[in-house]
Amino acid sequence: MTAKLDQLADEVIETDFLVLGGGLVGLMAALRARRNKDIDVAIMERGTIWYGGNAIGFDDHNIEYPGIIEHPLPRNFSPEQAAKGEFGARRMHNIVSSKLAVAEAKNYIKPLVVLEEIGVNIREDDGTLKVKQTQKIPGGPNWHRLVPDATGKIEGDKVFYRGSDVKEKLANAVIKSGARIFNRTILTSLITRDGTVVGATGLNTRTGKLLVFLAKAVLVATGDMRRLYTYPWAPFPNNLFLNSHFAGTHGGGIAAAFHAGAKLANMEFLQVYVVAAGACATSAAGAGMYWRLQNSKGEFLEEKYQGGMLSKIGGHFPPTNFVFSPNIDNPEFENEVITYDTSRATDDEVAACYFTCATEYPRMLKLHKRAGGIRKAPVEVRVFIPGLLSGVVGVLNLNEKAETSVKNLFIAGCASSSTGSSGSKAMVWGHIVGDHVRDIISDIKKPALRAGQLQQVAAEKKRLLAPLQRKGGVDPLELEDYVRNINMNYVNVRKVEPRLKRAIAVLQQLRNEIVPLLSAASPHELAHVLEVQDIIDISELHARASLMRTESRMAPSHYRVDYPKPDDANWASIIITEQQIDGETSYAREKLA
Amino acid sequence: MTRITYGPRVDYKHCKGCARCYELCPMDIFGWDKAKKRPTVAYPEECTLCCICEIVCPEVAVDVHFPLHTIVDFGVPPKKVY
Repeated sequence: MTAKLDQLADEVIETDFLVLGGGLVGLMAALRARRNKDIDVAIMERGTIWYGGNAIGFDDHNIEYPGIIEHPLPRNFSPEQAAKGEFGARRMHNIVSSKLAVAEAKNYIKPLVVLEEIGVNIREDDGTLKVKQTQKIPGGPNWHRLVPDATGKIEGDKVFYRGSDVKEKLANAVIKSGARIFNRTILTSLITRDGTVVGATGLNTRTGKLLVFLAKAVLVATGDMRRLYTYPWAPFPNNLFLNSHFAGTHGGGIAAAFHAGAKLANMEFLQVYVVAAGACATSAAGAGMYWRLQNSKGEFLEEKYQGGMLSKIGGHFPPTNFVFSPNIDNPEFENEVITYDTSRATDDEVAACYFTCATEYPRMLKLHKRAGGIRKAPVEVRVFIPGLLSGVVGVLNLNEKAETSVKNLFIAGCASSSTGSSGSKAMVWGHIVGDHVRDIISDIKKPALRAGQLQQVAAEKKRLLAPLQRKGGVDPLELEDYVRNINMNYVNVRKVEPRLKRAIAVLQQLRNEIVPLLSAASPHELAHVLEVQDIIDISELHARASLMRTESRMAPSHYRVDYPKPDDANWASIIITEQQIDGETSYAREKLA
Repeated sequence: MTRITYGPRVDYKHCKGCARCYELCPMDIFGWDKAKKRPTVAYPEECTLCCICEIVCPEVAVDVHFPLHTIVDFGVPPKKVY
């Protein structure tokens, strides 16, 4: 069978552990698995492992949300303490299992041990952690400002290190570990046999070569879905690629896992942020994070709307709540021009903002410099949807081993419906999966292919290559723009039944009538053809799940105009899951474990 | 398509052809001119303005230009850019 596979594929790679995505999750998992040198590890990455993933910029190891991990972080923590897992855990948002929060808490400090091993500097000269103390923003469930409160009370810690250093050092450590790296390769599908994942197909976006991977275990670590909505102030095509997060992650791993039979969850929940106008950036701008939001009358929104309707509902991101207050149907931002005010910023906060700019948003550093510095005239803030609620929406993480509903398929990081996102948590789950796979891989048999798997690969090859032969067809970026406009105009924050149904109908029409007309002139463009198909599939799941949840929860993350209140009697601790078996999608309401 | 005026620009007076921008761009928007052994900007419209190319260039030969809306909305004096 492998000989026949050789005829179909340009290259066949047999490995023990296939890691899809070379971001923080994937690299941490690969590094942990390769601690046993008998385990062969291959990493498929759409960009490059040095600057792939959201960690192009990040600066955190957050102990800043009591929603997940309880404070405090021991300043002189040791690997021994980390191994014990001494942290308590709380449940997040009532839409993820508390068991996952416990697993995460137990493992929370372990990645810091790894980072120290590979040379990331996380300590002050006296040996204690480089920590900034934070206070909780009043009225918000889980967001923190970077100073203790007026009485000196500390509610969170943030360990500081330079994100780009972490990514480069991790990448170099992974290369040194002997893992095999396949950069510039986009995941196109997972290969399954009898409900078990046995490999994946990938396309090299420079050479156009079809790569087939055969693996005993596969980790989906492809990041979140950043290409569903647009920054509406940017003209096409800049609107497709300007995001407060990394626009390279379109949700390919989530779509592939879904088509392979894995359950998805929480697809109705949006991530709704406020960003600095023009830059479309969050934390580095300080918009709502370090600085206070102010309207044209000079009123500070957190003071004006403390205890307002939205903060009672419990939105995901408090600064956004203040912008949407007092009423989501008549919010402040539609009647006002809102800016962030740096006049009360402490020197520490300004320094921290520059640090964040340098690590998370180099473009912000450049813009601040050219505009005259952080303490210049205020910048407007705007509402922006960078994608679906990161790390809470995606492939359902079934348990503390990060297993999915497909055997030998694991999920971690922003592609998972788990305990939330951020660089620190990504590395925690990467660590968990890497260690687990290292322990179990010897018990998994080498995958044997049968005719069914060859047919899968043959069909995938046909699908992949068809747009290259099509002349004068539809440009994938034009289609992507249209799909994202459907989400912007028919779904968005204020969801209502007739418009959701219309979105579903148009998306189905696009899949049936326009996708077959897509064309590409190069492997680079072909990748966009593949991406837009995933974006259509994910958009439909998003609209359908939004239609099913007949209540509002964590508004503006999920707000139904026709069901504006939370309905705890019917929806508390209930998640909506989607699963595709034999091409048919089923939707289910499930009670959280 | 409208001519794209944003994205990275390479100063070929200083570029020595190390290819770090071409190798490391997360979005793979650079091409490679084999004859000149220098990078080209093949897909400027797909630039996310992450500025990694600027950071990794040892010759400081890459400058990422911002779109018009970014400059005006963020309060950068246009004369400093154009």
